Amino acid sequence: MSVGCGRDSDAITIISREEGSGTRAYFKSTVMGDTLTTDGAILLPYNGAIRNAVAGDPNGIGYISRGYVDSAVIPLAIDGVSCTLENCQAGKYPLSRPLYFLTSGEATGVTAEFINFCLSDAGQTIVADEGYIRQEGKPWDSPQKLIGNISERGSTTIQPLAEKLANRFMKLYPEVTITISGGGSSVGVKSAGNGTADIGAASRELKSSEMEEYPDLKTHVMAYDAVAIIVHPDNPVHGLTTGEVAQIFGGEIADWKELEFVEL
Amino acid sequence: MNRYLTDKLSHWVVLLCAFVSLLILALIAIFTFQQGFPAFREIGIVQFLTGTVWRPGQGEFGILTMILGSIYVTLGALVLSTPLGVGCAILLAEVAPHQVRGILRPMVELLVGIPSIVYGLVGMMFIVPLVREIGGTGFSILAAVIVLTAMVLPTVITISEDSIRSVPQKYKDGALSLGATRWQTIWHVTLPAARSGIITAVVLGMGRAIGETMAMIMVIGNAIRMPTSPLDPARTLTGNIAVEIMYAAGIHENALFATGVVLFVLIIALNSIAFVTRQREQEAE
Repeated sequence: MSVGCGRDSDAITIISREEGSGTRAYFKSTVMGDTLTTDGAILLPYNGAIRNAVAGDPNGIGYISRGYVDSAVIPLAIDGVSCTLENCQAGKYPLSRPLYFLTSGEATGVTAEFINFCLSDAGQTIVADEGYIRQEGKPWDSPQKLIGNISERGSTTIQPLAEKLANRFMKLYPEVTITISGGGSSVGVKSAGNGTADIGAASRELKSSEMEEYPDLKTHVMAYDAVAIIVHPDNPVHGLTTGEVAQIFGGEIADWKELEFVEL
Repeated sequence: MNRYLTDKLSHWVVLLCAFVSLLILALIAIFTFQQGFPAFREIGIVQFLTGTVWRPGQGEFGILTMILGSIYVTLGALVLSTPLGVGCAILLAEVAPHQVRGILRPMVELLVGIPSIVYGLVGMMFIVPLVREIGGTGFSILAAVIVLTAMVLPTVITISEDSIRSVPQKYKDGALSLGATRWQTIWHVTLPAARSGIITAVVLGMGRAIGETMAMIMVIGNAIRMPTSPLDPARTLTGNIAVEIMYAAGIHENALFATGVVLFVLIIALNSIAFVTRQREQEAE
């Protein structure tokens, strides 16, 4: 087999997120366990950067939020379950996780209405449309008129989804302005905790240190997201087990040739 | 009386400006050192500077790999951009006809204005795959050096050209009238006379190189491992701060500020070396 374009080596290029990323924290707890990511891994700070890097490298492998997957990369089947929306929705795909909106205390006023909108059937339909995993819509009595400003900050996994939700909400209520910004899950927790944002976004659970620092934080599961393990479209490998993924990212399997698979 | 007053006043205004800029510099230095100090105390300066393992989650903080990463890319960019930049400066100042220079010089100056994220993007999409053809993953010191060279070149070219241009015409006339060829004149008279200006150009380029962050993050791979070849990925000091500061808290945050302190000291050291060299050059003249 030859995966590389004009190269003899099929050495795997491991592309990971940086320490502190919510996606990395989830990947570590679910896939890696106690195995440390090899120190030869390329580290890039955004979902999109990892997708572009894998799209450009025939031997690359990376992990990103399913919402970022496009035709330039192939999401691998994990433990025999392909990363389709149906499988994720049905809870069969092993790597899915809740995404959180965080507020300091119970949300009030226009912020509460926005969160309720996101959890409603209309909001969850947008969630599914964007490639994330929806939940049962909660009933929501949409008010006639709303005025105000909302700021949301945090997880880059949630960012594109939050933008879509905010745009729809602002269309419904033209006098509401919502600003969405990124920064990562830890920034989301901090911002909601210290009140610099009305809503914080996190793609991981709160750490115990964070709960101690900000005891008032309320979490709202706003959607579920699958973490896709992605490879280049030319790569003949189309599925791995969770154990193999951990061995690859741990540096134990360093070459695509070491993997047994059915050639297509 | 009136004239005397405005004179006095402008004196104080200028003094105030100087004082404010110094104050800003001092405040930044004090704040960085103050935030970084706890890291030096808890980790130990030697452990921090010579450690090769950086795992904030496990409480391991060693930045030697990043110090080397920063030094390698800066030196690499220096080695490539100095001959290229000075060569281009000679062309602009001495060789190119007036019209050609009128087009080239603004184009070079335009390069300075391109945001570094754009350099990073182009580097990631074009340079990284190119380097991959040679070997490795493409995310590498070599890719970083190529991108940095492109970023540093405009600074080296414009300042070198200015200093070559400011060499008095009578020096060159003297050499030519003694029978030296045009090239001999440039090599033996003009360039030595412009030397201190060229050193300034290189030092300013170096400052830009070591401080560059965004473009580096996108092409160097940010891996924390001792680089052993130009095709290996590495992490720079600036990249380390930029990638992790968003998440950092407690000792991790202090360690990132301490990284800033190291960067600060490194830049001061580089500038001092350059300052002393230039001083010697000027004395020799």
